[in-house]
Amino acid sequence: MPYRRTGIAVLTGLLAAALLAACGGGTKSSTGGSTTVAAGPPQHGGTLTMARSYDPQNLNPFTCACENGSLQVMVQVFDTLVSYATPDATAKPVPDLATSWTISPDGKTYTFKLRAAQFSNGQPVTAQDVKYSLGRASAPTSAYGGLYPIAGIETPNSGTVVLKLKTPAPGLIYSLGFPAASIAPESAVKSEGDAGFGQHPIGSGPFIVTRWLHGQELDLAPNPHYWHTGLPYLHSVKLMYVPNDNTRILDVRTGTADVADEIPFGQVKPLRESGVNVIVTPSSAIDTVILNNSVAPLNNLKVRQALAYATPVSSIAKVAFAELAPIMNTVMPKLKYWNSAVKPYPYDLARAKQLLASSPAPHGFTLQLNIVGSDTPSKETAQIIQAAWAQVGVKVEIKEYDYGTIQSRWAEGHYQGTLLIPDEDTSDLPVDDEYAHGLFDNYAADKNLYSYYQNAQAQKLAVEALTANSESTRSAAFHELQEVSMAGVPSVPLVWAPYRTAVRSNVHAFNYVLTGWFPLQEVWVGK
Amino acid sequence: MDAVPVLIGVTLVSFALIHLTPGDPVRILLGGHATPANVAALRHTLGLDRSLPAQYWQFLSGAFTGSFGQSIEYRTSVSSIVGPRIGASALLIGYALLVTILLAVPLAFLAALARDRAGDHAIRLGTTVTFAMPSFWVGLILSLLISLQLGWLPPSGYGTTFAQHVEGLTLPAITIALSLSPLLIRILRSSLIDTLGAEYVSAMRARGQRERRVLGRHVLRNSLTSTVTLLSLFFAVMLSGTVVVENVFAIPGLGSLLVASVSARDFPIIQALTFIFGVAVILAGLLADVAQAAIDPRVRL
Amino acid sequence: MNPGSASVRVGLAFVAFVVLASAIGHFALPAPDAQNLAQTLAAPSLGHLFGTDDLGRDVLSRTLAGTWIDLGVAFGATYLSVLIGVLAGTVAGYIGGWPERVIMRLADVVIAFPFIVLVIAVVAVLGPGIKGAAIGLVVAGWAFYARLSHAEMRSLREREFIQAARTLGFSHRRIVLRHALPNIVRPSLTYSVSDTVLNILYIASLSYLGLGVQPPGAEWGVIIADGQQYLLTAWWISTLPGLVVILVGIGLVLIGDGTADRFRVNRYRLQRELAR
Repeated sequence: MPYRRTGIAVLTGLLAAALLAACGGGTKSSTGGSTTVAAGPPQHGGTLTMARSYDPQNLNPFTCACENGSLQVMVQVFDTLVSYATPDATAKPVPDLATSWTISPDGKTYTFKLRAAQFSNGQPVTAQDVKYSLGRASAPTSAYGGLYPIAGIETPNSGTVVLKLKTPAPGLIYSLGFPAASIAPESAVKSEGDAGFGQHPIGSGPFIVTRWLHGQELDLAPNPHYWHTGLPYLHSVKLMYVPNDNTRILDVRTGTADVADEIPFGQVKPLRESGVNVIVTPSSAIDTVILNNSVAPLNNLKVRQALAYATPVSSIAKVAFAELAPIMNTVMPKLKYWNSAVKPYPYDLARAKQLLASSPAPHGFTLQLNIVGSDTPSKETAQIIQAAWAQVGVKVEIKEYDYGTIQSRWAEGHYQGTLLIPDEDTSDLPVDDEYAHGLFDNYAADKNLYSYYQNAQAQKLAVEALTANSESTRSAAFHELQEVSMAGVPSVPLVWAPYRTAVRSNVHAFNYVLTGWFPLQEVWVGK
Repeated sequence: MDAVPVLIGVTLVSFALIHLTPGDPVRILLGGHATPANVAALRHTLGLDRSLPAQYWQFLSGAFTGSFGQSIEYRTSVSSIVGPRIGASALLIGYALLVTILLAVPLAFLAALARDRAGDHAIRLGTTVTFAMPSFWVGLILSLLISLQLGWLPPSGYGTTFAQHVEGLTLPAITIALSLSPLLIRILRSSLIDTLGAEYVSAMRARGQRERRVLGRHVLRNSLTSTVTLLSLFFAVMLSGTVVVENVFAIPGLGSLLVASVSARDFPIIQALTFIFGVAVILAGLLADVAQAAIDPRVRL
Repeated sequence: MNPGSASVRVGLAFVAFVVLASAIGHFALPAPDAQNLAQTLAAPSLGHLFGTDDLGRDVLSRTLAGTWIDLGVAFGATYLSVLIGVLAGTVAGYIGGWPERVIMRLADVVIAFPFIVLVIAVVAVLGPGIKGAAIGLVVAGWAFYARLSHAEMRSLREREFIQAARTLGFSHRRIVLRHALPNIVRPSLTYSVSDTVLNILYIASLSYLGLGVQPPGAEWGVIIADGQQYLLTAWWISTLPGLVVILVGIGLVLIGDGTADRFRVNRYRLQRELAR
């Protein structure tokens, strides 16, 4: 579960943009939306230059940390059996390397028919390559093994792969679209070795890596053996690493880059006013005040509820997220099985005081809140919370650490409260399985994502949803899980932070897809 | 300076510090999704489960043969990550020093010749202003002005050819020069004043030598020795001090790699960088000695 | 009146102006951490001379509140470095032999060591905050003064009056304290004034990396670094406090120049000695 710079989806940016345009009245051409609209027939050729906040590290699907910087490149280079490449969180997976598949009525056997495709080195994609790749993805030592509960893989013929499961896992079809399940040529991985393959990846996807200067730039060119003839449109892609937010904005304003990612929330509107389109796309991220449920008085339900009531979430959404981020009404990411009926905690200081008064900490307490010091939204959020919680007698001490220290303190349970970078704590899947398992059914392995929160009912619902063979049972269990977990407040929910990407007007069909990357095979640049 | 003990000291201190600092690189790398079994397996693969003395000995024995092991974060050899960045840092520092000298020497001369008059005060106060401005601020203002308003240079990018490197490094070099040159101007100015007051200068003037010859051949040459020393000290500061400028202008240098590696607790890269910085500082000191000997024959090596 | 004392007076006036304004601001302005979420990112006006920041706080009030922390930490860190460095350098230069080698090699190690690794480690161990940053500055800063005073001591050791003191049978302590130290301290003190400005800037870059004063604390570096995120849309948050830093910087440099003139320190020699 991707506690890294992973994931995103795409939903209702159009609405947000329309609202913004209405608010920003009187300014010139306030463009925006969740996608760039294709104008005229796509043209072949051209170079796309993108200023990214990420520096890819390791492109080997089987050893990667699969952080955003690498994922966004891996999806260009590798194919998966299926993909969820439409800007709709509720969409079903679509064929990729598999042309079709069937799932047995007991939900324990998946049969995939493979497409005739070639890797970029000219070798055919065989059932054996699929068996090897999925075998590595599901191995117990694989970091993402938990997403792939596969007991056995069979290859009855060169065009068919059969996956055997011990128990039904309806989420698996989505996991197979995550790049940790990329299909790689067995012979090339073995001859290059894992480290070498991570630097010189070979896949059957639309692009190949032509140049990789660490910390600077990664260049892509079309894969001549790509199975989808006519694609990709682009002649080359330059992914530039530009860590400074202001510099990425200047890059896209001067035309040094065509696309710039991670536009600071506060700069989205000014950038739109300067004539640059900024697409705002919902992510699979959650931004919550993560609480350590094992330390007093946070182990008390009333205390946690009081903190939720004492949090002015709408002020946070306005000041730190420029009203671009929807307010969370659950403690989970907003995905396929989102329950819109759950009520968020209103900002109600009287209620909070009342709850605290009858709790084990009637006169308040001191709470240390760890944040990543270099992250502006975290810093703003923390200070608004500090001022608000002080009014109910909770003294917040903000501690800024570097990213590594935050992660370590959190994973070792050495914290009281912590904020992660808002679009960092993300689901890799467009369905709720990963977080339902991670937050409520994984206490033995990692204390339910280091929250130390245990709730028998939530755990039962999570297990039910993850293994239900009927879609209606699964959906009902996820919905109830969101109710139950919101009442238990393992963490204080804040906002679902969207991704913000500036796209110049010559770029067409650029879009984030379900899980936070952007397929480039259909992107084209105009004159 | 005894190079080997200093190098061992530097690496030992960095090894001790980085292992005293809380934070497990494997945890940071794998993030929240990793099971304890994953973490243990990767720790073993990376050799992090061995004793600290064993890890240090492996680093040290490797370092003196130019092998720094595998990066934890990039999962490839440290030299393939660090190597290409040495060029970028060297070019950036060299370019910045050049701009600094081109800016500082004439201004220092003007100030020294106009000692305690308006020109002197203007130069000293003006440079104090750029001295007291944080470099991320100066960098961004330069970008806004020269890249966005005038469109002369790109706001970021290092490129792949030498010409592109020079283009991309121009604004960063100016940014660094604006913060370094005030110090150099002050030192050079006072040493110029000292030299101008020296007896042999008056004697040469009295003998009717041309002013330009006196200033260029004798005064500047004598003042440069202290300047060279100072530049070698700047060099040490700049090695890791360029991190902010690298960040603002997206330059793939060593400073930003160091900060990123500290954050990821990528021990092998941090160790390699502190070693390389140590070597570079020692080399810069030696170079300064050689340069001084060349400038001033009285200095013996 | 010689130019030196004029320069000291002007410098003192600059610094005193900022300090005085801070004292007045403490009583006359809104509290530095008082948020007004209804009035964020407001441009400078009569009500808020420096405008407001992303949380609607008065930037002038925050800037002035930062004076105490910045001057305190910068002076504290600088003069602690001077104290440790001068003692270490003098002792090394006077005793000679293996203690000299050990101390001076240690100084070499510190000078060759990347500052940022040091500070991140100190902060990670001690917990974040200005304390960690200040300790980091001292740990890195003493080495410079050690080199400086070591060089002075070495040249003094051979001078007549120290030799004479030894021949007359004065104790070591007395020789170092009464005779050598005053001569050694002078160049260090002269350099230390502009070092204070450098330390203010170091604190600012540490804040840029999130390693300085903890929120909601107001410190110049934090204010400027936090404001850079808004430099394209709300220039005043980091620019106006930046001007105050420049004012204080000029003031300190003027004081430094003036005292140097007064002590008649030969800075040409000072810089040469720094090298070795």
